[in-house]
Amino acid sequence: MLKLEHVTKYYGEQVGIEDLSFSVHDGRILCLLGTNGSGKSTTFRLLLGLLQCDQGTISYHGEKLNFQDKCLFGYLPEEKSILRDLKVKDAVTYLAQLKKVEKIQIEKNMTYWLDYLNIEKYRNRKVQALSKGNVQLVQLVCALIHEPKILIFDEPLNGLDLENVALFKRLCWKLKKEGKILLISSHQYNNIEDLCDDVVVLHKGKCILKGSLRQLKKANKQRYITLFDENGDYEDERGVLEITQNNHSLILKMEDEKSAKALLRKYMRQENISYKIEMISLQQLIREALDASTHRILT
Amino acid sequence: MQVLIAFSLKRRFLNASTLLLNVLLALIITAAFFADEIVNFINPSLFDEQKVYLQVDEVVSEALMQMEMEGIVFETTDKSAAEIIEEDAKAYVLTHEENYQLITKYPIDETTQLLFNEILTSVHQNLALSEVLQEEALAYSQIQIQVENEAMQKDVDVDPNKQNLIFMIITSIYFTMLSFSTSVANEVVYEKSTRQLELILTSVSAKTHFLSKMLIGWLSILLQLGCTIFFVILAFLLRNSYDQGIGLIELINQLQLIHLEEKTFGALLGSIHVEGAFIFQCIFIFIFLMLGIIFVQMLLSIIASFVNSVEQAGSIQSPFYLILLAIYYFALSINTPYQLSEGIGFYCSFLPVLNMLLMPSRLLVQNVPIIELLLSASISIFAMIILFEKGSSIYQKGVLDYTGKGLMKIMQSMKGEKT
Repeated sequence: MLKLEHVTKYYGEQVGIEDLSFSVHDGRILCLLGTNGSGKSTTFRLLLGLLQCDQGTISYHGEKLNFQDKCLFGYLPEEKSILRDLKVKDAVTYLAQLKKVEKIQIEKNMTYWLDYLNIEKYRNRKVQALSKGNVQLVQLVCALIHEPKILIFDEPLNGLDLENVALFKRLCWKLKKEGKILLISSHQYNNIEDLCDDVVVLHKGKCILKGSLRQLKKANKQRYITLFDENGDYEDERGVLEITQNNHSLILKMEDEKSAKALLRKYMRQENISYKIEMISLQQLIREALDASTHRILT
Repeated sequence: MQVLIAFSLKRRFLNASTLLLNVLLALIITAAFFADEIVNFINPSLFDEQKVYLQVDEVVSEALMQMEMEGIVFETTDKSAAEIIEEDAKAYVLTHEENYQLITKYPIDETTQLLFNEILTSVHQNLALSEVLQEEALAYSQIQIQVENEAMQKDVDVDPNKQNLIFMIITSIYFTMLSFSTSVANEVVYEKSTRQLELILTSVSAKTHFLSKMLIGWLSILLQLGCTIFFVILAFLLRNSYDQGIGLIELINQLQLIHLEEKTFGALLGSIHVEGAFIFQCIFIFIFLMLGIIFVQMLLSIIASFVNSVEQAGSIQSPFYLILLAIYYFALSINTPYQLSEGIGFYCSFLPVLNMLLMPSRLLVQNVPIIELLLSASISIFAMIILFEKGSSIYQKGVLDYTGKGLMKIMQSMKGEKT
């Protein structure tokens, strides 16, 4: 289990992270979410030992991290960080050698991961000749080559097409199954929602929401109805908290499941309108948490 | 660290530009060893003596022909100036009617004109003196008076060859230092701007990375030095098998670069007596060079760690280069026996960076006591250790900072950081 307790980091007078605590068990995926500048990268840098905590502790399996084990973490940075003039195999080998992985192991793991991510054919090609998505996959290989126990993926879906997004998800579930801890940061909430076991939402360096995604959703009684009806007027209906107009649909935020069902009973009998009723989504959960945080600051 | 060093050295040396540069270097060195042949090929008459045909008063003509002028031969002739120049386009014809005239095919430069003014003035002055003075008195008036120097400080050697050598050493140290330090700094900027460092620093500490950069710069110098020495030896052997270096030594003497008594490379090597003191000097010169280069590399790498893009690098690093240029000119300006023995040069030879330029200069003109050498080297090493300790934490902040705050603001924020 990876555990952060009251971790604080200041940049001079500016807050990087303040009193952040959370824990992730082996074989769980935690999504670290928040707006730009909320402290996600600072948290990752603290975990990777690139920055030092001003206060608090980070521990793994009960022992305080001393960052001596450079193979504990696998890191996929947000930016394209590999040397573009190198061949794929050389770029991967270089970063693996820095992690002190044996040559035979590098070769074995490289073959496995290149094959798994369908980029074996690019092994002898220069990184600069690859597409953005394939560079991202090569970076993934670099993060996995030394068989880390904890994986940090910062904006992993950047540049990936639909097929590769699906491949990435399969990879995450595979790693989870192997008992690894995954920490993912992304702004593509819809894409990562089915990956999240736990979420930590940061805002201006502070944690505004955390916990198991399933429980957080369960705890929220509100329901969302998506109606494929652009012209309906539902504003004065009982239990409707908010209406959002989309391109071809309306999203009604309902007080609870009961009021949602009542509304559907009333209208769906009369007209042939397609609809779906859902629990709160990750994106809406974050939005609510951010709104609540802003409201708290204002009051 | 080994991986970092090996990777960086491989990238530095095994690329098309460096290979091309070394091919060019080898060609230049070989060309230098065959300079006489190149000169003969391009301009075979470059070192021919200038013939000056005289159509002047007989007494003046006789006086001119008695003069020993290097590179100029005076001859009398009955031919007309036009005929002479038609036969030899390079010839000069000196005539005198009301005034002296130097007739040439093409206009001559001002320096040559001044030289002839001097020669003729001197001839006329001597002729005038010979009319009024007795032969003995005339001979006495023409004696060249020699002033001998009796210096109180015996161990300072002011040899023009050594002075030239000092100038060459200071200049080479300066440019070597600048070139290799710049490449290390550029490497840091490149790694930072491509966000590679963020990934590298998850595997090695910033301190190790910083140290590896110093060693990479240092090893690059040694490798390039090794390559250059190899090219020189190769060109030397090539020239030796061609004509034992006779032509080149002749050219060196003709150009008066150094006066060499020996006629062949073999004789030249035989005349070199390598003394223990000389080896000792070389070792210390090398030590000071290396210490200075590492020191400058550290400073430049720290500055480079705050640069966010290659474009920014020039404007941030250029003030630093100007400071180094000022140090270079300062070192050249105080390159006098007095300054190096007891003036500002003496004191500066104990300071880091400056000692890299001034201690080698002192070693070449005087016997520097071992205690002074050790003291200067120790001060440098001590300063380097402090810079390394302080610098590596600043470096870590710098390489991970993309806010563009600049060195001063980040250092201020480091002071204010809660611990």
